[in-house]
Amino acid sequence: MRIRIKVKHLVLVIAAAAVAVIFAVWGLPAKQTVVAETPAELMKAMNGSVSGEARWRLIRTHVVNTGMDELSHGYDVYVGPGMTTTSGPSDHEEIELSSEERLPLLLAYIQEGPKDYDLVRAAKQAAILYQAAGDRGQAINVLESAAERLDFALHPSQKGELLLEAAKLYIRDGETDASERLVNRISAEIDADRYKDFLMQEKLTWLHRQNGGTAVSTVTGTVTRSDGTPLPGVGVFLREKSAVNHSVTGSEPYQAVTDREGRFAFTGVIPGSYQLTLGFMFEQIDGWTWPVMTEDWIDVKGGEHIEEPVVLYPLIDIYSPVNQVEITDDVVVFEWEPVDGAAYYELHGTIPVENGSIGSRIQSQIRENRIALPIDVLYGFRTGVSYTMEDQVDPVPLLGFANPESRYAWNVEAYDAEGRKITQSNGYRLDETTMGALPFFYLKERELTGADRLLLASRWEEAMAAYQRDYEANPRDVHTLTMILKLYDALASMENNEEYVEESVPYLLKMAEMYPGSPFEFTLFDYYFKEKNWAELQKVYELLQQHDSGNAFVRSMYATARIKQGQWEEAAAEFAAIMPEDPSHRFVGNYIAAELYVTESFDSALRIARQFPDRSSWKEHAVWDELILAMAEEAASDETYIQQLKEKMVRHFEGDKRMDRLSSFPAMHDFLEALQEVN
Amino acid sequence: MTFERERVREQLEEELSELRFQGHEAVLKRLQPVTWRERLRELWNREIEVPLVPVGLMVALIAGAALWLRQPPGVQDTRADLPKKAELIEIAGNVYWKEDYERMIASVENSD
Repeated sequence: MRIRIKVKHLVLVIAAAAVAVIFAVWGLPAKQTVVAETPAELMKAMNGSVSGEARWRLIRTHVVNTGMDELSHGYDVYVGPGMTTTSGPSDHEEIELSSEERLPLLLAYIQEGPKDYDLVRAAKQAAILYQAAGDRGQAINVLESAAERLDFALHPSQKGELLLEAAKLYIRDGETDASERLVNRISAEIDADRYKDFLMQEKLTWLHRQNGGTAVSTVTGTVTRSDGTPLPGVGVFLREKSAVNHSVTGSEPYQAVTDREGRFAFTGVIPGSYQLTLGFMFEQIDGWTWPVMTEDWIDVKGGEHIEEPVVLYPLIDIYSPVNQVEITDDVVVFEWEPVDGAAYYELHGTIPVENGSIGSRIQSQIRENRIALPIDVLYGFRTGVSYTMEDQVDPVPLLGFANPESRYAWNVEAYDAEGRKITQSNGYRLDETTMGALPFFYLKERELTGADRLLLASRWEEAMAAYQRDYEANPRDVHTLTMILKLYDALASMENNEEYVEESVPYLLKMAEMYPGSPFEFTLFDYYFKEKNWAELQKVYELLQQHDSGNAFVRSMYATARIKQGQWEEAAAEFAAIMPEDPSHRFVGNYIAAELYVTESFDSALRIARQFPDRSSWKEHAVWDELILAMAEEAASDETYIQQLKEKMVRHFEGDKRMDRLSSFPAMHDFLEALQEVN
Repeated sequence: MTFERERVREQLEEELSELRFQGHEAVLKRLQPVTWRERLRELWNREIEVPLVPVGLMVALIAGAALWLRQPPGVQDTRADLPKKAELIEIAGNVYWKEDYERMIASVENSD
């Protein structure tokens, strides 16, 4: 394609283009760009060797954008009793800034920078830094002075946000008057309908509630390492029962950051059950662990002061087997660094699956920092049935530790004499010094059999036939027997057919006879429980007691079986003994039922409900005390109430699923429904 | 005739002997005054044919080169010096930097 053009026009076009290019590429940015080749030069530029928008742009990029506005989502890792969330790593930071370097730059932006949203962010970040330095007064000042620069008419939500942050800090200091004053000021200025800032409205409501509340408590503590070193700048979140199953959000009321001595404090805590979650940067948690347990609750009754120390322990170093060693012996020696104060250790194994791994406990109550496990214990290890992404049973985990091709992993946990976890070997290992040895190993003592290969090919029926042939040939082979039992599990799960369990009973009995303490003893216990075969259940229970005496779950099932046999009094006594040993109190509903049946007293049932709150984490918590109070109220109007209740409870424990619909009393109905959830 | 011409020349020289000619440039300008401007105007208004594609490519190349030569601001240069350990990996309950983990696995496997 060609165009005809006069030379003068061509020259004009070229000249115009050249000017445009010069402006676009060299001209305009040259006014703003600061050439800072090194972090030192960059710091100099940000500290004022350049001025105006260029400086604010640098501070915005390197300080505000890399800082923490909110405790609820600025940390790399959040560790709570039920879950650990890793939110990092964040974007690359061009320069690593310390708090001491950050603060003056933020203050410069707050005092002189443009009135944009970054001003709000800078003020919130500076407030967090002041709190971490233990200076809450300055934290409030910086928020208020930033707010003063903004005008409600022009920046209503920004100004409101800053004042609200200040109000929250006043509350945490117990200065409710000052807080109230700020809240009223915000409420007067911000038209909620117009701005639709629901979150803020929610916060305002909460602050009002806080201010009006009475009988509040304080919860304080320190976060330290086990050698006593305090950990400053750790996020601390006191979380209500309804919040503990999701990640930390900005609207949660009790948030703090530890000061230079690692201290944190929550004042004005309203009564309830709480758990702590901590926010760490990688460098704080790397090589360390906070041994929090699922059942660690803080019960705030009202009007008291609770001290809650938090101590981080170094991760346990592991010695053997490590670094993908191939084991060919029939004994596997696990060894790790001894832990001061450990009464016993728990050994866990991990089997790889399609998208991750399945871990479970191999051995508990290990007294030394080493254990030599016969390989048959690993071969006889019971793994659950897991499914692939395509919704097929995954054969690899079924093979458990018997697959010479699989790379296994292990970890260990240390407990004190009271059963509290001290530390563990698993955790964040992000540095050459903390990485340690890799906990991986191969078990190459055996080779895959024909039956194993059929199993790995998901040819279930053929695999079962092959294992049964192998069993006929060698009834003492633990692997064969284990595989038959696991295949029955898998078939029962795949076809949702309980008959497979019945078919497997002779093998279960054989296993129990050959390998006392085998994990399959529980399958047998469960089977007799469902079959209501109380005589056999008793025998298996006694077997289980010999090897796993402390298992609160088995004991609770056994106590429940007693109720089913009409032995309410014995059941109540059993539960009374179990409850203090089972921090989840997952069977407290059955205990309450037994107590109600025996004593016919709502008061004593209520005492139990309040002493042992249901904390089973996998379901909605039944609020037993409320259910009991409601029933007591209903009972006042009907003399036969307690008899009706007892009758219905008998039918419930007999397995009658329909009777809940038959109760005309709403509270009794709810109670019976809640009982059905106990397991 | 020759004499006559000689005489006229002598007379002329005599008459002009006091005169010096200093107008060379003006004369020259007067001799070619139009050509210069006209040439320029002609050149200025000449129509040429421009092949669009090659010229467009040239322009794009020059603009690209200009942008490329114009290095990103020095501030960003410091990025290159920082370790880029962006990715984490969680394996069997341990969390490692992926890069470190892979290096360690490689060293373990090589030592076999």
